[in-house]
Amino acid sequence: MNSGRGKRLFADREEASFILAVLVPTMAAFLVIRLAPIAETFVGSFFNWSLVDGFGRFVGVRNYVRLFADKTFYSSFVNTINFTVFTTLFSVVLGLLFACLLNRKPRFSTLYETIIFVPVVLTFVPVCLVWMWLLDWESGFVNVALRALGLPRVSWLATPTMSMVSVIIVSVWKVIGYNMIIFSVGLKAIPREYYEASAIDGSSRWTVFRRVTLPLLKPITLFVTVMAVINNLKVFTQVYVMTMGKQGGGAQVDVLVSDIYTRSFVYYRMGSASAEAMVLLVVVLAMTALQFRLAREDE
Amino acid sequence: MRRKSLARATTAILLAVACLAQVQAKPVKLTLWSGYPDLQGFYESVAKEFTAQNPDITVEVQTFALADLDKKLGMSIPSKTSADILELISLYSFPWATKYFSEVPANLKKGCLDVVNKTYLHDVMYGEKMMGLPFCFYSEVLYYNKDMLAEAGLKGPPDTIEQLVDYATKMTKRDADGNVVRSGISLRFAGNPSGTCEKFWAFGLMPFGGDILAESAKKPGKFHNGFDNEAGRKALGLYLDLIYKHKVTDFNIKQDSDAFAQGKAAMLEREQWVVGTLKTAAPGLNYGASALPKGTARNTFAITRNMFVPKAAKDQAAAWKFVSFFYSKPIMERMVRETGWLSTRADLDYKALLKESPQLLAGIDNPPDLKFIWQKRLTIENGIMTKMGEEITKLLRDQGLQGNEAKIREEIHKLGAIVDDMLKDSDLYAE
Repeated sequence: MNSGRGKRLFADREEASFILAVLVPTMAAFLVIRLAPIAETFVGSFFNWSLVDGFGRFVGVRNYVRLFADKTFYSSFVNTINFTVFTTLFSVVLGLLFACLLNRKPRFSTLYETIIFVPVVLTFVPVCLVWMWLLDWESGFVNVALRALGLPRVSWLATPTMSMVSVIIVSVWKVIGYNMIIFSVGLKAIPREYYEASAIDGSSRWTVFRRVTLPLLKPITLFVTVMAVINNLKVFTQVYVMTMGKQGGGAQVDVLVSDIYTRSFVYYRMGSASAEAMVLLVVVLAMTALQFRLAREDE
Repeated sequence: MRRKSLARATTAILLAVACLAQVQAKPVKLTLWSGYPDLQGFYESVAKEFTAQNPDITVEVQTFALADLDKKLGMSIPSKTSADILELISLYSFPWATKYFSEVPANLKKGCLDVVNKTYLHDVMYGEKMMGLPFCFYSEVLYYNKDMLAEAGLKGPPDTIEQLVDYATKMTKRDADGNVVRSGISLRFAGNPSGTCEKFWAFGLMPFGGDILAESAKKPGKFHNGFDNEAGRKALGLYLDLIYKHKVTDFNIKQDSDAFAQGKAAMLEREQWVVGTLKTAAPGLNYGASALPKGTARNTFAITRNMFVPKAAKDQAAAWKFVSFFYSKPIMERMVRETGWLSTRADLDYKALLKESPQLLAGIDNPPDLKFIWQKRLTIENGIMTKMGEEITKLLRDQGLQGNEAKIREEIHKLGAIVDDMLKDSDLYAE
């Protein structure tokens, strides 16, 4: 009996050891690489400090107060939210649409899948540069095509609004393929019986999509949306390359991460940048929590 | 026994000599960072020549876009991971110079002081300490397309702001829809905001006697904005009038040296590097260069490019040895001849060196009434210029401001308050 109990205990210990052996290094790395910098940033947001002079004096919540009174922060915040909403909406809807279309296995479906997926694996900076050429007002392909169709040219990158629209177009184009693949996996996992039963009931395609496909894709949709929202809130590369690095007539678009970057490495105001980073963290956490809650309520 | 001791001593000496030889022969590999990718080839050729004379020292050259280099400094200097030699414009050096860079060694300092045009020491001398070696300088000049000038029936470049507006209007071309297809003058609307502010400073503020920052008369060493005044209002008004009233350019057409090279701009306000760029980008372009037109004053900025050695450099002596070699007369002559960048050495014969690029003389043969305006060497100066550049580009897109003096006054005042707040944050503000 004792030996039996001992054996069971030994088995538990082994399992516990295994779990610890696997988890501890990962958790330690997570702690050092993720949590510690967040904690340091949080503490730093209450200090007036710079990269040049190091930690200065404790200023309490002053960095937050001044941040919320800063026009650039507001425009960055609004731009980030606009970008996130539109990019997420279009990339999720179009990703689902392409997945549904290709799930019917039309001719050359693999080719279409490849073409739609290719932008995902391309490096973003050169992609943005190519898009800037395509969107060039004078000689870009898009405006040349518009003129050939008898339509007026569009100042894609010359006004803040159109710069934002251009960035959204490029971002959606870049990520549709990824969303499409995830949705395709979800679609393949839906048992055929549901569709067969619907067909017997004489349901229309739209009804089948609404009553069968969408509800069963809910976990996948939630995953894709949450990932898209998190990634879009962190937008930086395309905004930086397409609107901030140009010496032509391009209009700059401020977003939260670019504003954090400017405060840190141009103004050297790390306290202010830390405060803005904490705001971004709270926004990301809040949005994610909200999405999970909405999904749970629906269940 | 004696023989044994002798053998031991000989072995010890041989070992010591071998170790010493190894120490002396230990190769040093230095890294140099520059914000001018177009000079990569030149720097590499100098580094190669240097290594030929100093086989133990090699210099790897890494160049980045100017604004990217600035961001790299912010991360690498405090973490002591920057290059061993930093070639920086003065503005980028102000935050770091006294705290993170090593002083120029006495012999090199003396050698430099013997030959340098003393005007260009402004940004590197901190009291008696010389924190970097200013090897190159540039200022803002006006480039003009001679063919377009002649086509408009104009004899020479504009000398006053009024002439500039008039000439730009005459040289602007539009298509049937009224879109500008050739700017009368290219204006800076975007790109690195600090550079946008720099252009606004030289082209807008300076001709009217304005400046970005003004030193407090009551408290020397403290500053306030230098443009919440008539000069600031005139500067913004000039830009807005050129865009919306005279319509000499717009936000769609290409700007900057690309536009000038492609014949899409008749005039351009820029630094001397444009000459080097145009040599390859538009070798047949018929253009000239002159001092910036005057308003109530004729001013331009002068900025030096300097060599710095961080305290964290792996071998400071070797790094300064390279800098000393770089600043030698033959290398500086080569730099002027091959790249078009002007050296701070006063003992060069520019007229002979610049036979092929007479446009560069606009930065050397200056009108007697031209005054150089310098930056103020503040840690946050680049930050202030960046913020101003961001705000100015937004103001220029507000067509409602054109001709509305009250609104212009209000916006300039707001911009001044932003700059003053930044100074206050750094405890550098006084009225």
